[in-house]
Amino acid sequence: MKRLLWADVAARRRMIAGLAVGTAVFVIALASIEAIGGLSDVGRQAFGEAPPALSALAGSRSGFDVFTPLGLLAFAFNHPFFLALSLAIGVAIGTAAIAGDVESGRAQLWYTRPVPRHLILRGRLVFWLLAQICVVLAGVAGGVLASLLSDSLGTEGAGVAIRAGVQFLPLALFIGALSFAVSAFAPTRARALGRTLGIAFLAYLANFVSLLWSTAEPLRWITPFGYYDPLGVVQGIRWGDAIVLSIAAGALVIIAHAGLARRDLA
Amino acid sequence: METAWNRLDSITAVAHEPDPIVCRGLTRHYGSTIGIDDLDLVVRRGTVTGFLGPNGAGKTTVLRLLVGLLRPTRGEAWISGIPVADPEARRRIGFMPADPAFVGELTGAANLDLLADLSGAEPAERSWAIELLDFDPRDLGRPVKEYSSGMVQKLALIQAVQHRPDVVLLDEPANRLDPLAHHGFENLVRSIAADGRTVLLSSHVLSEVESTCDEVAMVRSGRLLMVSSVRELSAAALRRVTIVYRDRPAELPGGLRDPSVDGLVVTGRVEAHQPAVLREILRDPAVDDLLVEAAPLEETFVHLYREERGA
Repeated sequence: MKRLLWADVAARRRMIAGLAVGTAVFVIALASIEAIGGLSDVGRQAFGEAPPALSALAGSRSGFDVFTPLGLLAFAFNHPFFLALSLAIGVAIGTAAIAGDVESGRAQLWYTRPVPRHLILRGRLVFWLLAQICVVLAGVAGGVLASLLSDSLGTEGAGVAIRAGVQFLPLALFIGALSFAVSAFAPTRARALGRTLGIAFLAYLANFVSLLWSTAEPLRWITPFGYYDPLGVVQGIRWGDAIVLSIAAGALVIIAHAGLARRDLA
Repeated sequence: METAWNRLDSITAVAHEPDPIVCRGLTRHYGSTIGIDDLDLVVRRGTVTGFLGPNGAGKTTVLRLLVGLLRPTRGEAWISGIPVADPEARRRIGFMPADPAFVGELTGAANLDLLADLSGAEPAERSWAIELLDFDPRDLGRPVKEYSSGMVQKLALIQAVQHRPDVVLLDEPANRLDPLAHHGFENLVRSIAADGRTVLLSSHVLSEVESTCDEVAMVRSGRLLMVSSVRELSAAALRRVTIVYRDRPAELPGGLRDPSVDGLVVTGRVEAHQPAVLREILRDPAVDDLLVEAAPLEETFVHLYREERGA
């Protein structure tokens, strides 16, 4: 299985490095703009209190003000750009792992060995987990570095960045596991990708609407984004939400195993 | 006494060793399309069997069912007595798909190591296969994405045999091979069969089957038409007849099919086992020379398919 892991690393090392650097640079950039230009002050002076759409975009249910240095740093971990960069790795690996292997014909070399299908999938899951942690860690490292270099953020900011990474990881695991589950039932990688992105976008939209419109508030319980409050990490990690997302991700991995066990691989 | 009993046991074990490939009522449908229908096939140990048929006949479907990539709609198949659904069956197999997709970023050697690792066996015959296929060992150090399609094909053949499997399944193996490598490929499969192991290869190239295989299984539209030895098939094949006349013949001999006249030379075909037709030709005093040869398998193949279609 070690060779399988290395094969995946060789095939995706540039992508992992690119996304990790991109994620780190994005968080550093946002934190630096706050540190140098006082972005949160500019926002407060312009709007007073954060407009509902911005609070919804920040994914905040905790009521913590996004127009504060720590609020802005936490917001970086729910910015659409951050989400796109850091979730891309799980989506790319998950959709390539089963549907992509079948489509490319690689499954005909790998799954015709005396290794049960679930063990090969397990190898791919380990690789994805390591790659995902790597990208999230890069974002956290960017946040910590920017905070330590900034007077307004300081060690408190570094703590927020670490907690934001810990809080974000279960969401990333959920989206990655979703990609594997969808991939296990999709005939081609393109379809797996389309379906995963469609579900993820609808889930994000549902959470956004639930934050904006009180009538739609119950929607938060059915979307993974409803269990992720990046501004809440300023006060502390919400372990309950993290556990719910982790269990849901585990369930999706089980679904992926079941789909792989039953499907044709050519 | 004990030694004698042991010897008897080992002889009995060989005698009762299950056939390497057995299919019973093997059926695979893709929705309303038939991939393969009710296939009964037994491939004998130590043979090279060609699975022949036009595109879409179901050859690849059968190979994919045997390696567990597809699940049968009905029926069963066994590799050396082990049901193909059991991963243990795949320990006996070396499989080469028609369109192999290696990890392009890895070197050829790393890809082979990975696949040998997944096979759970030492790549004992890698060097031998590399030599036979005229694969430059230095190329193993290059990433596969830099390989030509012929090199990928050779690598695919090497990975299929490197771990010394009992049963080698090859899907269109000679595609993209240059003549030198093709010769090596023929030696490779003949050597495997001579070693008491078994090769089943699919092909639509009849000359390849004719030169490589002992047995031929012909399929069309998902159904098995016939299984025969290449020798029997050649014996049953049409005969190509070339007649050289001293003078222009008054009329062409009866029983000669598809005749064509080129000056004093007449060519045509005669059904096998029809000595009366040949005797009649020789009875003609105008005949100066007669050449009779078995038609290539290709002609027999087309003939059989036409007969089947007619039926």
